Amino acid sequence: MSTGVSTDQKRLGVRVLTPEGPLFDDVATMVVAPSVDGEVGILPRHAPLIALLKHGETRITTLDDEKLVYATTGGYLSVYEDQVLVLVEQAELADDIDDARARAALERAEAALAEAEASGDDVARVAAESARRRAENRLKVADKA
Amino acid sequence: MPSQRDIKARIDSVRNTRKITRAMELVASAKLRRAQHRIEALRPYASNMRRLMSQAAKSSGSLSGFPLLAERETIEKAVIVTITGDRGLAGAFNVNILRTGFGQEAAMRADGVGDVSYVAVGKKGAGTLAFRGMPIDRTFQGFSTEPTFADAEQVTEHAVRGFTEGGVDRVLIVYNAFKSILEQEVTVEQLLPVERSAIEDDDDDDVEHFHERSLAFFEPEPEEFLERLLPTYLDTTIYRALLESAAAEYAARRNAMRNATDNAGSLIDDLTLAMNRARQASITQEILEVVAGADALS
Repeated sequence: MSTGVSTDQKRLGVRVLTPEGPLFDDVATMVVAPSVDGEVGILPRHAPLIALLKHGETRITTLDDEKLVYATTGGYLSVYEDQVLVLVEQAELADDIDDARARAALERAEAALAEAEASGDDVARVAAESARRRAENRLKVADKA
Repeated sequence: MPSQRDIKARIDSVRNTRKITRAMELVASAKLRRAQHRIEALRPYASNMRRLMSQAAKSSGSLSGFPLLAERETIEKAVIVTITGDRGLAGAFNVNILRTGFGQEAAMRADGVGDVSYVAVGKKGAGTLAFRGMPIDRTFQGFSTEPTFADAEQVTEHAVRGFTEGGVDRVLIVYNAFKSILEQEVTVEQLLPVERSAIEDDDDDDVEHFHERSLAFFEPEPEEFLERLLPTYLDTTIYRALLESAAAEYAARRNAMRNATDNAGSLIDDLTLAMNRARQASITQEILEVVAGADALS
């Protein structure tokens, strides 16, 4: 593992993992993630923590003080011995979000939702709802960045 | 005996077919590599998720209050999720899945399960099941070779709904696991109820850390955390099965097309031999005719 336990106490090993592959695997100085009970900030030497994450933005401050902002879906956060693990279904760097594409995705999700509601298909409705939530969150995070 | 021209026409036709099968073989190999990458990409997520789950399970007081873990006393209604491809031309890839599915159905019926229905993932499976008049609960199609996590979520959602609200007592999935490029293995797994062993084993080597880890602060409480994590675990399980099946489908198609290409090659050899023989025969025939004609004149 590239981010093995660091001897430097001012660092965190951070990994952002999604089913489609790892997005971030490096050392950082701070992580802020949206837990279901409010935002949590993780600094080095944080107590062991396991938390549920909701849709929102996850921010990572790298060693050279650069702030990376990700639009993240719901997921899980684990902190143990300065190793931070963010497991989310989907994450996208705010700077990479294409506004037009994100808007198109939102429209697609809304169309799918309307169709699912018309046909009374609960499974499709749930899927469309979560697609809409993801699209809305992407837009929100992109607007702020 | 076919004429030279007939044989020539057949050789051309077989040669064209060989071009197509060879192209399909190459396409399948290229896509297979991509599909393998996607399986690799899922691995870190999946293993860390299982570790979190086992930590939550160990920190939870008991595992009895979770609907998705509840083993039903009698099994009356079962669902078999068959994961096949949307397309054919992949050898026995789709047939193997259905055959195993039918075998599972027969075994469950023999055990007294009265109501067994199918959830068909993939167009080929759906078609065959409908043709045979099997009870189909629902079909999902259109993503057999490029499944996304959201596709897996839909399948899970349907399965979980059936299990918690629809009176289904057991859900099995049947899919082709990708063993190697030359081998696919039909795999049957129990999806619901989630087996305890799946939760408690964390395939983690450093067990000595476990004690400290269990002191982690959970937000929310471990029980609630686990309850929220279980659906994601199911999504991941299905997603993995879909990815493996996609890779296995390409591998199966590649092998099927390679065999077809080889067969076409030997067919062309045989036909060429037959054509040469026919040509030789006609030459011999002509010489005989010339000689016979000359004899008759002298």
